[in-house]
Amino acid sequence: MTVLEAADVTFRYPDGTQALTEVSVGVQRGEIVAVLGPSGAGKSTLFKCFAGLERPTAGVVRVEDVDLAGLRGRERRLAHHRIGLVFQEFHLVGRASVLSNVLVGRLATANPVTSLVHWMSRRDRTLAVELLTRVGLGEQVRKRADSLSGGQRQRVALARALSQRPELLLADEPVANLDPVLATGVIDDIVRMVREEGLTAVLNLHDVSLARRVAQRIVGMREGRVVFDLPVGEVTDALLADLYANEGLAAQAAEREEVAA
Amino acid sequence: MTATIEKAPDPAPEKAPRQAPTRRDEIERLARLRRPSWGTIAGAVGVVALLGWSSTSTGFSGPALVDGLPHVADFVGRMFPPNLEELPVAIELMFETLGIAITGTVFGVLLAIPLSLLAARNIFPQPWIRDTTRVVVNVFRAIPELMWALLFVSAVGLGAFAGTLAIMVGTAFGVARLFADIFETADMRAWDAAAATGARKSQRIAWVLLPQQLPTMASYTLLVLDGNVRAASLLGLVGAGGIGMELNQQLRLFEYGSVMTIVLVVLVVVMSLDLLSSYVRKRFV
Ligand SMILES: Nc1ncnc2c1ncn2[C@@H]1O[C@H](COP(=O)(O)OP(=O)(O)O)[C@@H](O)[C@H]1O
Ligand SMILES: [Mg+2]
Repeated sequence: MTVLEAADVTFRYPDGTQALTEVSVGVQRGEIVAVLGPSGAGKSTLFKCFAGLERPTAGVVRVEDVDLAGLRGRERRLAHHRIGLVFQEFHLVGRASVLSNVLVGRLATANPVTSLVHWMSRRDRTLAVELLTRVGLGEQVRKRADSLSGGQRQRVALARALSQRPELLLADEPVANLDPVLATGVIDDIVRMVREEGLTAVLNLHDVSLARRVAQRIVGMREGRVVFDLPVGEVTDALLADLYANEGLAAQAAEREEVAA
Repeated sequence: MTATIEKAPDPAPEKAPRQAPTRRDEIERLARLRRPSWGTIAGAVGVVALLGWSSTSTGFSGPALVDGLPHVADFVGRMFPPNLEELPVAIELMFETLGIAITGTVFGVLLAIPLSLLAARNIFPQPWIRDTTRVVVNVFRAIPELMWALLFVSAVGLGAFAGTLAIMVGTAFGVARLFADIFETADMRAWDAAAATGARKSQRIAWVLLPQQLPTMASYTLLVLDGNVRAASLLGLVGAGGIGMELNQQLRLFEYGSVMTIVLVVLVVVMSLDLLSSYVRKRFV
């Protein structure tokens, strides 16, 4: 069954930049898909469209056959609630405790009045602590989020997303801010939790080896288009070389432009 | 709030490469720099005119000041020694003054929070909400505490309650503007992430915005409390409770020793509060 579907999605930013051109991708229940591509390929834009944070200029995104763009109010919030998000820069409340950051994921279904004074049900608190323990942060529950290391912070963000009890987990370059050794550990944790929870996941990654390590399917993107969409075994080095071809040159050109400006 | 004021780099040293100038060159260059522009001259004339106008309208005159000096000296002389019998009364009334200031500040800040949320663009993006709130806040912010006190004395009668209400309302509008600015500089990433979990706006305020901004808010609140203690010691002049009422009375009775005691008590309390709050604020931020 298709959990996530993008059909001919085109996205143009207000300044005219066309970030996505007729992108079509389908993700089946239980699949773990990696989206690969050089910087500027449109991965983050696709992530925002999948998450319902941006509305496609043309085409449609459906999560479990529902188009988020057509929803309002409570329905929209509950649809968002079924999608867990992990961001490159964690997006935590640094001054709040680790536990309170994870409980944010429970707010959508909590009592709207008592939750305002940070009173959360025992079930919610138990779930939050259990998730934190499973990502190895059982000892850090009461610590301030900004006292943790980068890898630990991303695990808090993961626990927050999982506390939503989502159907789908989307991550945008979740380990790009971490050094390679930590990155592998965090990605492995994400994938382990996704499997244990039986979720569907789409991970935007920059690193080919990480994508090959964890994904069942790889979607290659470049300049806003899908270049290939194949099971991981069929993604050859030649395809990847093409995907990243001239990335160095492009980067250099961009740098020259910056210097000239 | 961390408003960074960009310092314009001083262009002089770059334009004139460092070469040992002769003394004469240097003097001429300085002389040219010191020549005032027309704008400066016009500005200076304007300031002098304004000063002249404002001093005549206040009856400020040099001779009167000189004539008055012996009276001032006499007045100060009669304030010594301070009358210690006044001390218990002064202390008791200082407590009342602190009570007015603290209660007024706390309730004022509580009122300011919803106002400031409405006035913050990133919380309520609808321009009509923000603009209406800002206009209301700016209008009422312009009314001094003493005027609020006069209003509340006629509404609820003489006494500390009127003073507390005056401080509360003055604080609410003053602080609303401050907090709105604080909220608008907040890092919205965690807020957006919370929105994407499906959390309501009220929940995001309670779980993301306030925890992030509370230290800054507390620090400004302490600063405002300082000012409110000063304001509360004057409220008595219009009958709105606190130590100012007693000060007014002792002045009318020509009891300058008691006046001195009262002034000393206010001085000690305001200065200690100042020290305490600057110490606490340093630990906050
Ligand atoms: N807010 C924005 N406004 C305008 N253009 C943008 C914005 N964000 C991204 N872009 C442009 O859209 C294209 C795709 O960007 P992005 O989705 O961030 O790629 P990736 O995540 O793969 O690096 C790039 O050309 C980028 O410059
Ligand atoms: Mg990106």
